Amino acid sequence: MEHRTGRLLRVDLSTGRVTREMVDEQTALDFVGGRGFGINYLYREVAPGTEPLSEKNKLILVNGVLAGSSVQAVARWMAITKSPLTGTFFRSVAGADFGAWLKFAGYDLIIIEGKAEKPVYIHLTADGCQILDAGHLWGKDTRVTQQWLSQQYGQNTRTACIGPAGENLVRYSAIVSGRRTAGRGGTGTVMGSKNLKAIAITAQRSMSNESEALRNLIRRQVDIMRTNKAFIHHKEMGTTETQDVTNRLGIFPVKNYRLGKHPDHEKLTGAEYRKLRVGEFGCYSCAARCGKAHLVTSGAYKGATSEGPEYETIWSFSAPIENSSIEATIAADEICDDMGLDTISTGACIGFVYELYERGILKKKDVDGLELSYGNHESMLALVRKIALREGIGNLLAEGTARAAATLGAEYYAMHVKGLDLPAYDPRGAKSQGYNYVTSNIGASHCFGYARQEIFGATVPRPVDRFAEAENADIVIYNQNLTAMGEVGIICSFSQGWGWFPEVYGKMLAAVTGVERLADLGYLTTVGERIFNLERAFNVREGFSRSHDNLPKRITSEPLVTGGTPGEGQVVRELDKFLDRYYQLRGWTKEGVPSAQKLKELNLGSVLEDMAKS
Amino acid sequence: MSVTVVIPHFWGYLVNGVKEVDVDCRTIGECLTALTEHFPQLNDLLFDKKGRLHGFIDITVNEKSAYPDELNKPVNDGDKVFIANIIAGG
Repeated sequence: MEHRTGRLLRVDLSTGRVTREMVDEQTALDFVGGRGFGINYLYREVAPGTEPLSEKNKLILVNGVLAGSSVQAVARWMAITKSPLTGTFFRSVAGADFGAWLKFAGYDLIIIEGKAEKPVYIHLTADGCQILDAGHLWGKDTRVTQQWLSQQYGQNTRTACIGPAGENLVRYSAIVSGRRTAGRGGTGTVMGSKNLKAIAITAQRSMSNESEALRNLIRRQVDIMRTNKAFIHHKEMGTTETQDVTNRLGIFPVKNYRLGKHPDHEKLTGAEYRKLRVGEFGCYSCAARCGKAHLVTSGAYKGATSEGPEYETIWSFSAPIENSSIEATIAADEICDDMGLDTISTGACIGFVYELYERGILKKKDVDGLELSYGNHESMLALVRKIALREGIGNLLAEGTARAAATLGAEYYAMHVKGLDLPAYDPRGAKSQGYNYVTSNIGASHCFGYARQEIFGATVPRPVDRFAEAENADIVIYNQNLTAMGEVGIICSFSQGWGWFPEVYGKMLAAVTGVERLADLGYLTTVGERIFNLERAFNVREGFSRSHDNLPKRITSEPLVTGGTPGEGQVVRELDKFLDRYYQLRGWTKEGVPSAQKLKELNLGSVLEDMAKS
Repeated sequence: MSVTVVIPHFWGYLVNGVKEVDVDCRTIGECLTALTEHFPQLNDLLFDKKGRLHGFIDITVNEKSAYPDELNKPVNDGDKVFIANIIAGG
């Protein structure tokens, strides 16, 4: 098996036509793989103004250059499309085995276009691709769907599918593989809009033809990881105790971003989750096995089990409604994985509606008779189901917080950037993280340029003050470019802290592709910058500009309340000053448009004309 | 010997904004003990109830991780000791 096959599979669901193409040489050089391939094809093939849920939109599933190899922590895959939630470019990353299996079948990416007349699934093998009737699977949850396909095609099958939420076009539906999800931004919604229930890949795990150079690099990677404390701790705990730190920092957003610390945070600790742990699971070729499975053994949620929750979900089903039952959180996580919902946007949307209820903007009759008082987790779970099925108030919430707020005239309480709900870090106490939400190409994502410097005290490229603003614009750019260059691999973002990234990673890319300059971190950073700029150009072409690089008013006007922990009284004050500096450092105009000079420098001259029209 | 312990910014509120402390010590364990003598409130953040360094705390000396057996690692005159959380978010 070659690690970069250079092959893409194009499936037109409108005509049933399946074609195999080669990625052209210039694309391979400029964009390397993974996220780079994704934005390259999306920019070229999805015309500006395309309605995200129309058959004109495309869904791209892509693995990384290193997927399917013995390299550790690189089996991630991503779904790339124009988002029905944000209207922007979107990429959503997932784990498990699917990315490796796509490689074993012989492909770097699949481009899905058109729309099937009725529900279908795709079955892909190294020998061929079939589009088959999925009428009997429509309406089934993600667990049942995957079980049926595994029974049908055998144990060497891996599936990415949608649940009822995607079928019902909930705007923040996920694509689920195993129990890992491409969660954010509604990539599952786009799949549902195409009447595509699942993609099943049957392939033999390949003992890959790894060069001696690559094998030596893998040995070095494993040696580094074996003695790296961050890896060892991650293996033990996953992200199940991150809330212990963020509560201490006062950046664990509670009650729709009104507080920075959960009053009952001691009931939500990693140690409490540890008591309910029943197993662990991981992605292909990763020794971390950081997914921690939990089982509720008593009480109202007895029997609830999830291969999670991880940190963001621990937050999304506790803090927004001030819930302190970790059993309810596990139950909500399980429903989201079955239904195919993004846990972050689901929890955030529910937090939004609880606040409207508290303020009397919504009455009991407006929310199907549910009692939405803070701490009421039974109602939270009822809302999760209603959203997935678009029942009652769930039909409105399925449109996402921003659209629901516009309908209700309650925009102030909608905590989002470009339509994507804020995740589990309050920007008032982690300002580079917040400015990453502002300038990310997909809205408020924590993992588009995670500010490890201010949350965990990382000292590379330099220590930062987490309350400083415009002076940290370079850090935001550094983190965003670093993330983009990691996602050509596609490496797991957690592994950025395991000591082998980026030096060994660059050498691995060079060993696999034969492109020596990928070992040069300066060049690799330029690749990341190129990807980021093309994504920005996509958004500019869609009409996004400086005015959309914003934060919710609560974050810029209401002082953070933490109960005396650091960050008390903080607001984000320097948005304009930050943007001026950020755009200048990026080489963009004052309106946030990549300049002609920058585009030429990045070999993106082909988009100059589009930018000139903007 | 004189070693500088850099206090992570996220603990700044506990130490009135003090950014670093010079201590006289021969091992990392001695350095951290000296730090907690200055600031007893940092003890629970660094050590568990059995006196072991928390799993999610990483100590680096001159930007190199001291793991494993951090507390017994020797330090030299002029070294800089950093403390960082290593919990992953996401």
